[in-house]
Amino acid sequence: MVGACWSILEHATRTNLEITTLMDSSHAQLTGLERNFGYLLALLLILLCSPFITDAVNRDNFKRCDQSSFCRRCRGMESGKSPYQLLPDKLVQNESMIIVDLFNKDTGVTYVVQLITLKENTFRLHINEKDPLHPRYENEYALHDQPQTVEMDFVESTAETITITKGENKAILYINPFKVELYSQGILTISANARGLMRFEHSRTKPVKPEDGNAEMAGTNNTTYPGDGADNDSGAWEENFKEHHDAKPYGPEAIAMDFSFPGSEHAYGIPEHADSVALQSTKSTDPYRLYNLDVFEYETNERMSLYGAIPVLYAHGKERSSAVFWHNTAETWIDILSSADNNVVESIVNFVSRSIKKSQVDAHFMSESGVIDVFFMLGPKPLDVFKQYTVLTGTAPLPQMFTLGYHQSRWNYNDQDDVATIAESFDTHDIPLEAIWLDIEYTDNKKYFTWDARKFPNPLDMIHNLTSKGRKLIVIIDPHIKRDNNYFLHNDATSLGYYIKTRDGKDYEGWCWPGASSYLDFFDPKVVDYYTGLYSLDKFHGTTNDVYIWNDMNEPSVFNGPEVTAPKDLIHHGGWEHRDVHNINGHMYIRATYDALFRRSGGSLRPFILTRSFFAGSQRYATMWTGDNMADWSHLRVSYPMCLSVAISGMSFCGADVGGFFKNPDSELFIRWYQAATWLPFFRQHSHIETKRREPWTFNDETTQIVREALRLRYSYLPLWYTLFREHEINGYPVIRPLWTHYPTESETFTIDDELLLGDSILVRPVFQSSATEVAVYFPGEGKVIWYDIDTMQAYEKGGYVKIPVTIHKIPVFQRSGSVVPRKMRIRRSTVAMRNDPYTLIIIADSNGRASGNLYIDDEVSFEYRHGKYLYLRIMLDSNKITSTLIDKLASYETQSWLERIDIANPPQGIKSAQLESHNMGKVTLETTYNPHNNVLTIRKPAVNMGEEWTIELLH
Amino acid sequence: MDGHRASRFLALAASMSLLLATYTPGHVAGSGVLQIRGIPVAKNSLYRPDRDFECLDGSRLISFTRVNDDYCDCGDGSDEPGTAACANGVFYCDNAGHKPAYIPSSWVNDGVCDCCDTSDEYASRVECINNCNELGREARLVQQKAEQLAREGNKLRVELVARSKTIKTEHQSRLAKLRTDYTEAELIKKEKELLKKQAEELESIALEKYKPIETEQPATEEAIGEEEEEDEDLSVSEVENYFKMLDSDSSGTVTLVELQTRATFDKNRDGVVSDEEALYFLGDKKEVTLQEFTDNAWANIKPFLMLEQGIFKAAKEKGEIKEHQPMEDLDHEKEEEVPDGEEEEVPEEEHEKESPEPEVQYDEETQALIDEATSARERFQEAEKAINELQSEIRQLEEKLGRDYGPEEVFTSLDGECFEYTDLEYIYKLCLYAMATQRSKSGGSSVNLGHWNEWVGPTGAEYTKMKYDRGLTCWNGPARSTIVTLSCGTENKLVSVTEPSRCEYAMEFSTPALCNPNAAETADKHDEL
Repeated sequence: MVGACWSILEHATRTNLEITTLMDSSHAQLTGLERNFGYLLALLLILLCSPFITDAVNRDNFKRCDQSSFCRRCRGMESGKSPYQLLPDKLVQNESMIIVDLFNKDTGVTYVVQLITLKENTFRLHINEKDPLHPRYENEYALHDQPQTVEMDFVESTAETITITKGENKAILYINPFKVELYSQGILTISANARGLMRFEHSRTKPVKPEDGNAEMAGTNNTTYPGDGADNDSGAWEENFKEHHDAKPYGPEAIAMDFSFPGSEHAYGIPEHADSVALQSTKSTDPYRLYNLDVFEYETNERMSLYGAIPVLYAHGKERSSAVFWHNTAETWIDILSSADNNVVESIVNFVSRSIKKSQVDAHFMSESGVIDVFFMLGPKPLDVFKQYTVLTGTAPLPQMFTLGYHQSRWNYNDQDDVATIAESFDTHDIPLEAIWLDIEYTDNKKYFTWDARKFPNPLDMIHNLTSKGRKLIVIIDPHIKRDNNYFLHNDATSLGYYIKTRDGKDYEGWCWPGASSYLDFFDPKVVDYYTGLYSLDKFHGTTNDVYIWNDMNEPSVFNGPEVTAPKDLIHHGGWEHRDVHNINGHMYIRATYDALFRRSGGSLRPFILTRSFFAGSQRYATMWTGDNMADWSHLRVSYPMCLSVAISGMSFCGADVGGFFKNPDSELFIRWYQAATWLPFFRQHSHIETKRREPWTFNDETTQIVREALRLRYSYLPLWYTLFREHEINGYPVIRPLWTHYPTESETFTIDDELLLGDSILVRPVFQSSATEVAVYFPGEGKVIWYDIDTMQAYEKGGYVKIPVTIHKIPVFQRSGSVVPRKMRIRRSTVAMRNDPYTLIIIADSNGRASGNLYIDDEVSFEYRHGKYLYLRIMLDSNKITSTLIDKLASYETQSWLERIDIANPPQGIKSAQLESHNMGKVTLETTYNPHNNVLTIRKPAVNMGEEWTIELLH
Repeated sequence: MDGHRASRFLALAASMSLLLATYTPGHVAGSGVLQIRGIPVAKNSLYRPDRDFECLDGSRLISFTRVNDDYCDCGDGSDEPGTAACANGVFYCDNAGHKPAYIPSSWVNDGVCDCCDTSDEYASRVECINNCNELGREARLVQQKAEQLAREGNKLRVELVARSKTIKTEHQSRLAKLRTDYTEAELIKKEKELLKKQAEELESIALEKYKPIETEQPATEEAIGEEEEEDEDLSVSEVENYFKMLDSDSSGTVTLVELQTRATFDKNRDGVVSDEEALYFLGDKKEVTLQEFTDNAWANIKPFLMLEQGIFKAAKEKGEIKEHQPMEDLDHEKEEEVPDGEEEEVPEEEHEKESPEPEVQYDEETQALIDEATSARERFQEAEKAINELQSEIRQLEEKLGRDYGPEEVFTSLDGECFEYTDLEYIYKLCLYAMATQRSKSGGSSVNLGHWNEWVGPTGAEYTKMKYDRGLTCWNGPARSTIVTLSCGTENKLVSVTEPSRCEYAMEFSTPALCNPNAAETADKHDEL
């Protein structure tokens, strides 16, 4: 869906009803005059919106750092002048925490510092005011649980430092100036406030405009302190942006901290930005911004905010990986200094010595409000640190199998016949499909939980038509509520006081799709309870348990709000300002929806929700997509780094609208997009209402054929995808990974984001350019790992960049030597139809004749797996023997699936046959065939049930 | 959607039935043989349990025990006709009582009942019910109805063809007559021209003696007159220059096509200069000379030119635009704004200029000569007008006679006929061989959904789809277009209108013109495949 101007225009020009809502929501009928006014308004908007028509993001609609008073103040801090000093005589400690006061010499304000030791090589640093005038916001929804503490080994205090030791890790708190150093295996890994950029604007009363102009005095009521300078900022107590006014009743309350990562070469994370995976220096640009916004026609290579925010930052060098999680839900800006920037400084400083050029990455987090609450994760390996982050914020629960298949969406499929025809056409063209999606036009005038009865008179029939072929329906539900006195939801919310309020306690009213809208406050448990009830099948008529949910516009998007979102001085449940909670607003919404879907099926079916906005921890509730992208090559290209960034930040289940949301792709871009999307977790085609139809068969026969092949390839690898999603749930490992995850010492991989690894066994390099005849593929592993083309089984033994010729028919994809990949080669209409189909194993023997891989199997829909109803298999090749053993011996699942075939690339030579042995089958001789052209040995039809442990011996 | 595009599966099935035709039945080994699952009896000879099976592409010989053993051995999928083992296989269902069918192998035991005889779900979690008899009965009923419809429709079609023939003959004879009239009219024009010339010569001689008097006008007035002349000269040269600019092929005439290349003449701002629009500016002519342009067309063009150059006064601009907007009123408007008398076309300013000119008194004889010349001029203009009218009618008829009216030119009789369809919000109107429009039920102007362009049906059924394009341009999008799909029906009727993609419309039109039993038969055959 799209941003403000566009949509208002749409509404003003296309539907009369929405025009009335723009003018006066109480009128249902229009007079000619009003309608004319509507058209006039539309005309006016065309003029106002004209920059949008040029297909580029309008930067003027969004703040730069210098237009935001807190960012201006924090960024203006001088390094090396920290006024903060610990007061170690007030040290309190228990087994996993020390508590010590911190004093600001400039303001005389005292703070309390807590340092806590947590499981998994993690420390938590928490700083708040000792005696705040009013409480400061601390979010409780990002972490999936109270972090588990561990006992400290010992605490040592000296005049200069307090040292906490836990196993291989150590935290040193420096007294004056205050600084925290974190050591892993004796090596300094992260230091906080090393540059002295920490800032903690204490709570204060608004200075009475003093006649002598001395604002400082009123600010601190103490002339002995020079103050923190915040009150001198013109935007400290009220702020304007464009025509919007922010009242700022609490004045300046920013917090900021710098972090240095000695030995690191690159920083990663802090999504969502349409930018490279490796973060770039912000020395001469604006900082990266985290402030969830509906950015119309966003562009690539940008650090502007997008729809989601995850304030976790990874630092990686050849030696180790580490991370900080900045646990704050307010608007946040992050400056990054790269190794290159530091080297300049260092080379001047160390001009004479010129010893080892030690690389370093620096980050500077700046937030508008809240407290300083930081988690330090010390790795030391990439997968360790990814896991450590998900230990804090949770992993994504295993999704239903269907969610990993192919989704067809459009704004909008017009009516129920349209839906039936589209689904039918997938069968006619023999293309698999899991779900058809309905965008906002299915509703009765954008009133969610209702149907447009003219276009969808029989939604249950329509749903049944889909489910009879194993398919689902997914409908959109957005958080804005139409202000319409004939809408039960609006009436309920009004009378029960469920809307977000303005400063003076009125229901906030903004514009969104329905026109005048208000917004439910999901920070109120009563609202969550009410909202989850709306999904029950007797309330949301025309839905069934096969209907899943798409939550859009949950930043929230407010067409006429500042930066197309809600004003910061709105009031949420508990009296918190929107400013405090903005970045987690969308998360609160999907959290409620997840609860609703869970309750709807009585806890039996795994919910599926797609969200546009997200925060740290959102992986626990929803799948995300990269929002309103564009049908051009740069947006196809950026879908890889965008999904890799969120994947390492806990949210593996990511996708981009295939083909691009805005504008029309040509057949080449369309094909390349399908081929690339085959290897991203969430696979949905979606497009804007003004675009041409683009179902897979709408171009030409060749395009249909190639897209069909891409989709069939995707489906054949679903067992691997599913296994990886289960492993993510268990250990937090991302499903898709940047190359450096598994090749952490190969510095060439550090900036590669046009390739990805699926798990640790599949290497993908899509074609991101028009008319390509070859692409440069980087083969990681320094020649010690051999990569095999998945189609031809041709081996690539040389490490580093190799030019691989390409045709329009496929993109380069490789399987790693030493791996076992499970596949299903029978592609059906949908995953539901494939559930009982047999498996094929693709084994690539390494130079020692070994290989291994896992396979996870369950009922693909329910939570029964949490009660031990699953199979988790380890499949190994070693010494001419292939074995399948249960990793979890206690778990069991009765599957009808059996082992259809095994292909072994680089097999032992001279194999004539094979012998299977299992408990139920006894000993069975199997036929093998060797194909000398691709050096693949095929074992024909072992036919053993996948639930059994077995051994297959290769015989000479 | 895109039903005309043969699906992969259909194509496969088609090739299988080709195979079928190659191997004639009659080689069936015996009635005691177990029927192989997933193939028609006619193909049993290829699957003989008493010998090894050769993949149908000849690539491999395998033991017969491996036929339908749920493992794909043949590259062409031929060893597994009855299972889902081969990705590229097809499964045959007999569907006794209804039509036999081929389905993709992947539909075998996939939990969906695809064959009405339930044979595709022999080992599946779903219970299918054999409903071939009912389906067969229904299908036969549908078939009968279709045949009946085709028969009834065919009678009407024959009538349409007959009417079309009549119309065509009428057109032809009318055209022949017009051509004769034209030759005659040309002769008349020449005669009138000659008469005019003679009369004007006499007139000019007679006027000669008044010349000095005119030149002896007072100096001040002369100055004014000169100024006026200069003004007129200026505008004359402006007209001429503009004419030359428009006359892009320097043929000495400005044609409709030359006008249509210029956005200036897009009165209703729909992105296209329609024939109607261009005709309006050329005073309802398809081609004008400089003289006609100056006398006639310029008055219509000038306001728009000024509008374009931004020198029009706001009040008038508003009026102009508003007046010209509704498409529907175009014809009506033309009548109003293109009056017969050419003098009246002179812009107001010039009227004003002419009126204060001093009236010279001529003697009776001179006056008579002037009058005679004037009437000669009028008669010549009448002759010229008659010729132009003839020319335009001839061109219209020629265009019609050149149109593609389909088999037996059956659509001739429908040319220009209009049909309406009303849905919840809009009234759609389709005028065959002209244009499609959409009008909101609550009123307002109508929106052009496309001008007639061409037949675009698939090969072999060209006359089942009409394309109308170059309609009103969408904001930030393409020009509207409409595909009309025609089918056999006993009535000419617009059956449905949808908008599958924004600004791309799809209309269904039923007409007896397509009720041709011969054509229907081939379409049906296509279906069976």
